[in-house]
Amino acid sequence: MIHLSVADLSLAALLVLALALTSLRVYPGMARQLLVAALRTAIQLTLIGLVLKALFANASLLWVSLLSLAMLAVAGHEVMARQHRRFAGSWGYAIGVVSMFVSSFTVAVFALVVVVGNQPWYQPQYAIPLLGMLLGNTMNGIALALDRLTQSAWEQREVIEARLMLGYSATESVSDIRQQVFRSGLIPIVNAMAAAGVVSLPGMMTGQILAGAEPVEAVKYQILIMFLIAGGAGFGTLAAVQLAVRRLFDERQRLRLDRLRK
Amino acid sequence: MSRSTRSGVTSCNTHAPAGQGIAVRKDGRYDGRFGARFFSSSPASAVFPRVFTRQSFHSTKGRQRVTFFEVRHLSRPGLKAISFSLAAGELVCLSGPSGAGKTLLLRALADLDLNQGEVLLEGRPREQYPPTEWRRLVAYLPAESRWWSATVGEHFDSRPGELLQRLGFSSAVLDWRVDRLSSGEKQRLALARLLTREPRVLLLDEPSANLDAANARRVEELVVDYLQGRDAACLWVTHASDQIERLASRVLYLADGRLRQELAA
Repeated sequence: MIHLSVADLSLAALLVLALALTSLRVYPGMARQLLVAALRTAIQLTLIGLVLKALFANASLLWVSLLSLAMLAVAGHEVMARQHRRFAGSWGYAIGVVSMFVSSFTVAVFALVVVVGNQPWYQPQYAIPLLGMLLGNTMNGIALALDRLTQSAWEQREVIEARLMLGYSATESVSDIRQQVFRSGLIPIVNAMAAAGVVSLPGMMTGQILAGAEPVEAVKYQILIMFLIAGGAGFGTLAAVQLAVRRLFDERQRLRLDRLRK
Repeated sequence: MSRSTRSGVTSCNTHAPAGQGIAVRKDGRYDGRFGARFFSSSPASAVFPRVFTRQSFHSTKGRQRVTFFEVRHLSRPGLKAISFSLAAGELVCLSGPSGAGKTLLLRALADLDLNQGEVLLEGRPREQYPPTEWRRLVAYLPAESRWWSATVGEHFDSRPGELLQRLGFSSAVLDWRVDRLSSGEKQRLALARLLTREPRVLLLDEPSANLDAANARRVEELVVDYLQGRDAACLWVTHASDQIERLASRVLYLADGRLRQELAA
């Protein structure tokens, strides 16, 4: 494997800098955002590299769990931050975190213990990247679905209430919205699976090949991870939508948009 | 058109045990056995067969009567301690300046918004009804109806039968596209849609506001017949004094969130 020097990375960074300078004339605000994001990438990835190095050196279940929970907490915050109209109070945070925990962690443990079968099962070289990919994709699905759900409920409140007025249940009143929401949460992973290998070469497989792995072995890992992501993101989205629909209605099945905040 | 004659039962507040009434099953759901007759094609005079209910039962046996629909100290932001009652078969008009809280009151009665106070149907508090059942029985028709599917028929769970004819439609209306309906057609069809759910208390928010005189009369006659045939009650929001004169046994006047006066019509 060819090692990259700081000078190599700086050359690539010049590309971002050039883009920022060019965009100054079109949309000045964008240049700043671009540079901040690029800087964050460099700093965050360097830090996680150091963290992983330390973690690999003393692979204890405690440290792996702590890092996993920290990742979950950040993902939960990210889901909340992406909501145009999120649930007020701790619900806004809890719905995302609970559904990500239930789906991503279960799928990750299942993959580590049953599929990969490493000793010990929490070996961080496997556990952390696997969980990271699962969390990242589940987070996207859940964020998309929740955003769509709360937005649709807000826009279609009169239709939902018209159905309630006729005596339909809360579930019946949002069934079509729920279908669209579930679809929008799953579309990214469905598209990724459909285009994999034909249009796009997925990142993990590419990385393994760059690191010198046998392509067929790398492909097997990629297929595994695709299926795990589909399961994790799918069940995570289902759980989040389920929780959110419950929260949208109260015990008398009234539509409670006052529980959302802008 | 004759005025509603069944307005005599209002006073007693006896709480009947659940399921005592004949028209209500043990679990509090309305016994739908008249539904089949109601919606099957039958002579026009039999569209709304008279239902043998608690009121007629009690009046013949001389037992204590239960107020059909009773509201006690209902309050919510915009409404202050509203109390009134409706007898079975009774039509009461609700009037008052716009912004007085008429819609807020109807929404609270249908339990669509948070509110405090007691609301009882046939002596049983609303908390004893499943929320879906309560809203089917105490049915709110908003001033502007909402339609979510492409054709009219998709919005009906059961066949509306003669309801459509009585409102001036042929049964082909079920195939009509919703986006081609005029506001008056929507208003009449929304009433038909509501009545096919077989409510016991109708909360109608200006149900004839967009209608010409002939169609307004059709709506009035249909509602009055429905109330008498099914021993249902109706709270009808209107500002038209001639309509109040024709329809109502009483008028409730709402201003500044308070039920100010009850004038005899």
